[in-house]
Amino acid sequence: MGEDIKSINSKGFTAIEGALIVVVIVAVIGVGSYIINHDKTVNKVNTVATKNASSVSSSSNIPSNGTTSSISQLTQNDAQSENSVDNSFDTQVQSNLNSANISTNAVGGSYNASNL
Amino acid sequence: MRQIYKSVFSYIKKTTVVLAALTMFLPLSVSALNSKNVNVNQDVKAPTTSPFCTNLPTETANINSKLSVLIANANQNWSTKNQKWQTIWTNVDQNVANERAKADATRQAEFTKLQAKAKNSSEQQAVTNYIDAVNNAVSIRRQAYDSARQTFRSSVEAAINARQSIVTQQFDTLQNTVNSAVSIAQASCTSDPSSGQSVHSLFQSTLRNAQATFQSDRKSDATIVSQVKSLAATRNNAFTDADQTFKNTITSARQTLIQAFTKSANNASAVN
Repeated sequence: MGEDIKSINSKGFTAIEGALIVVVIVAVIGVGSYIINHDKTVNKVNTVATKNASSVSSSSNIPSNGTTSSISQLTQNDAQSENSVDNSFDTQVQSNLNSANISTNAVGGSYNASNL
Repeated sequence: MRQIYKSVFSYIKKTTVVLAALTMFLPLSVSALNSKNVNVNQDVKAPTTSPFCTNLPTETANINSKLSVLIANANQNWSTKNQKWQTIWTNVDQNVANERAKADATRQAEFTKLQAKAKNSSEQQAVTNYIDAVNNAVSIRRQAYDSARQTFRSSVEAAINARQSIVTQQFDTLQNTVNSAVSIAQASCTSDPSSGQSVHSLFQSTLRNAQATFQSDRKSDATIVSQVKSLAATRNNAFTDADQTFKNTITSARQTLIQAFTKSANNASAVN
């Protein structure tokens, strides 16, 4: 009789233990899956942001998700926007210089010696 | 006898009167004759003023007028005080200020979202530290950009001023040569108005040579555009260096924040 009870208790403990193991495994798989998916999403967003940074200077294309990666991307794009301002006005500087050169050359044509 | 004497006396008297009259009028006649000869000689040597000498004052006025207008226009274009140049710098400053204002607003919105993810005081402090680090890095980068931009600007202005000084010398040389040629031609026309052909040839060749010298000197100006391109490249390199420093700083700040969230057992990936 005593041995039977011991056998039953022993079997019950094993079943609870097994259930706990299953729960832990499911939990580990669930959390792991969530983290992997989240990392994949973050990486995907970062890749898109990098592509946008190289082609578009506007910071409005960066996903606004309050992460350090989005802030990094935004601040780097800001620098590109500033740089593009300078580069666009460099064209005007060169255009002004060309105008100055042309107007200076024109002084040499202020008379036609053959027609004097 | 007395009759003969009277007749002879009368003849002598008449002859004397005639001779006296002739004596009085002879100088006038000779003088008149001489005077006529002089006039004839003058008609032979009559100076026929050449068309070149006739037109020289008008041509000179035209040349000087065109030179003045064109030189004034060119000087205006080379002047860095000119509105054309100052407008460029003003527009750059204005556009950069606009870009920075937009960037500040967007970054602040991101900071607000990031702050909302902090669950406790240590995380809040970590986020505050991160925000301070990013803002400080942005400020340092902007100062570096401003400095590089200012260096570029003053270097461009110095190059333009140097070029203007050279151009002014070229203008002076041309104008002095023209003035000298005009003076020589005017003097020649005054002393001998009929010698127009030789004066004209000398005048034309002098002005032609002056133009050739001017155009030859002008070739050096082509270098200023490449000079400014080189200055822009130097400025952009300074921008790149500032960007790299900035990137290193915010990468470090980012790692610190993620570590703080990991330590406090919050979901670090939420701020990553």
